[in-house]
Amino acid sequence: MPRPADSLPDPPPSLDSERAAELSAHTKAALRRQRRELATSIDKAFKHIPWPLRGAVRRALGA
Amino acid sequence: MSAASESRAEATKLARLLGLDGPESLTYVHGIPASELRDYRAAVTELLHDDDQALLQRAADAARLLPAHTLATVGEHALGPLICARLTGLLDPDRAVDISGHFSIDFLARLSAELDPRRAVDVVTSMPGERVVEIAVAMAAAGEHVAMGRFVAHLDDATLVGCIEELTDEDMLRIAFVLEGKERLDHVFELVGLERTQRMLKGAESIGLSEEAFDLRDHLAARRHKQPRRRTGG
Repeated sequence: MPRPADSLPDPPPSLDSERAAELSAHTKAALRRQRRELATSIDKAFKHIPWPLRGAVRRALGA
Repeated sequence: MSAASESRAEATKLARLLGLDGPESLTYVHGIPASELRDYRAAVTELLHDDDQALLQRAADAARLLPAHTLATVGEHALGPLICARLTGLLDPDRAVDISGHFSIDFLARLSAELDPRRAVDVVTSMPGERVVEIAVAMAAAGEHVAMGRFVAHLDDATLVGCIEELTDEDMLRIAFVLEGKERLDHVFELVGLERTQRMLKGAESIGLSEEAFDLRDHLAARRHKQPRRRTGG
C-alpha cells in the first residue's frame, strides 16, 4: 500500500504556482525529516532496552 | 481580527508545523486567505500524523513490554520529542501519564511542542496541573507559543490560572494571537482579570506586539458586543 505521504496535500488555491511548489517542498522536507527521525530513533532505542527484553521488543516491532 | 492578522497568525502556525524559522520564512503566504492556510495546515497535520502509522502503532504495542522508567529513558535519549509526541496518542493514557512522570520538564516541553493535543486529549487532561504549569513555563522560555495555543482548550480553569500566573504579559499576547479556538479567549481573559489585561494591552507596543494587542482588543470588544446586555438596577 502506498504511504499516505506519497500524495502531498494541495497547496492553497490562491497561491501562485511557483510559491505553491515552494510550500510543497517545505512540506516534503518536513515529512522526510520525520521519517528519518523515526528510522534512526528506533535503532537507537535498542541500546537503552535491557538485553533480555530486546528480542521480544524486536519481534513486537516486526524489526 | 483583521484578515491580514488572521493570515499572519495562520502563517505562524504553518511555519511551526513545517519546522521553519518563524512566520518570516513564509512571508509569501501572508496575503493568502486564512481559511485556505488553515485547510492546508490541517491537511499537513494529518499527513505528518498518519505517516508510518503502522510502525508507530507497533512501537506503542511494544512499549507494553517495558517498565515506564525504561520507556522514559528510551524516549528521552533515543526516540526524541517528535517521535514521542507521535506515540503519545497511541499509548494507553494512564501509561502515557506514568511515563511522562519520568521525563524531565525540558523534554516534556519539547515533546508538547510537537504534540497535537486533540490526538491525546486523555493524556493532556490527566496530567497533574502543577506539572502542566512547569511545562508551560519551559515552553514559553523556548518560544513555543504556537504550540501552547493548541493546549488552552484542553486545560481546566485551575491549571489555566496556574499558567496565567507564571507566564509573562508578552507570552500571553503571543499565545492569544495564535490561539486555537479563539472563542475561548473571553474566558481566558476573564481569568487574567481586567487590570492585567489592560496593562498588557497598554504595554504591547513597547515590546513590539502592537498587532497582537490590536487583535486581542478587537476580539474581546467584538465578543462583548455580541453578548446580550445585562439588566442593571432593580
